[in-house]
Amino acid sequence: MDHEHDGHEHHEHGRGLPPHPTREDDDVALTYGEARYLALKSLLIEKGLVTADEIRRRLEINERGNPQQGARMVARAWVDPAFKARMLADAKEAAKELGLEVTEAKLVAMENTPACHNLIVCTLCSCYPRSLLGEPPAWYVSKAYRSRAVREPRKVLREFGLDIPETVEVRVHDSNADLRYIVLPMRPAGTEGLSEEELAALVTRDCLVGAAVPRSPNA
Amino acid sequence: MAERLITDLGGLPAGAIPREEYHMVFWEKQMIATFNLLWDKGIFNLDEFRRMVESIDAELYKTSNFYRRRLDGMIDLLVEKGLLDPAELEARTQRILQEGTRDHVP
Repeated sequence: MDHEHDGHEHHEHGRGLPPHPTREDDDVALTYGEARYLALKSLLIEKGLVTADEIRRRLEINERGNPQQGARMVARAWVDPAFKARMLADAKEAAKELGLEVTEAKLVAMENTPACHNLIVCTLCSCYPRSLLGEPPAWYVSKAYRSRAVREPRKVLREFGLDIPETVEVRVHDSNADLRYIVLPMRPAGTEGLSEEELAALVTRDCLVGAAVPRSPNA
Repeated sequence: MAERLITDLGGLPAGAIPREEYHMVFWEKQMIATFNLLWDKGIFNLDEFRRMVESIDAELYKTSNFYRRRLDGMIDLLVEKGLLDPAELEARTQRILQEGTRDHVP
């Protein structure tokens, strides 16, 4: 197989292109990778293995995943201890209560506490609860993060702007194809008066992986 | 000790973690959807795909990104199952590259 055509398109991250609602403009040159996909798609359709409509429908399902869905689960857990208990027991089942469908085999929620901070990685690939949270951040997929998160998590977190005191244990969870994780962060102090919706807005994508923690809006 | 798989990066020394955001381009989204669809149809399963990810060409692994590896792994599986002719795929890829347009591809 010929893999010579991609030239400089092989970087792990960042081509600086904005998300495009439909497709690349025609003035963006085709890469070997894109051409190879287009060829594959047309052959699969010709052979009757898939239809263009089926691909479109599946794309719509994939586009439902986004970090706000995870943030909604966290905010509900903060305001409803019974829900939190169910989320910690089986996050995939708990998601259904909010109308969210997790298609990965198993989803486990790890709770941050004053004594323990959790960080999620997938050292072998890039396993991530995509159906709930959407595509993972580029850094999560990067080889550098996958290598270092299990060896020097505190240093990695410091680089992310999160200084975990030595008195707090850091637990790193290595995802795999059958088992995906979500972090249940601690509710920040000074948020007693906030609504569930306002609380959810404090929970960013990186909080759900343990690479950040929610901050009080007044902090 | 068995030799480390090329995908087995945990604990290895590495440099700075890139912090720029990566926005998937449309073909990458479509490709992931196609992968999910073939999975939903039972054309391949988790274990087959995992084997394919782990047995990927070492040079390609070092120089390719996640989406390109996913595409190539999916293609390798389809070829292995006799559902795709690699020569036909390559010829069509080259034709699309020569035409340089996304038009006329369904």
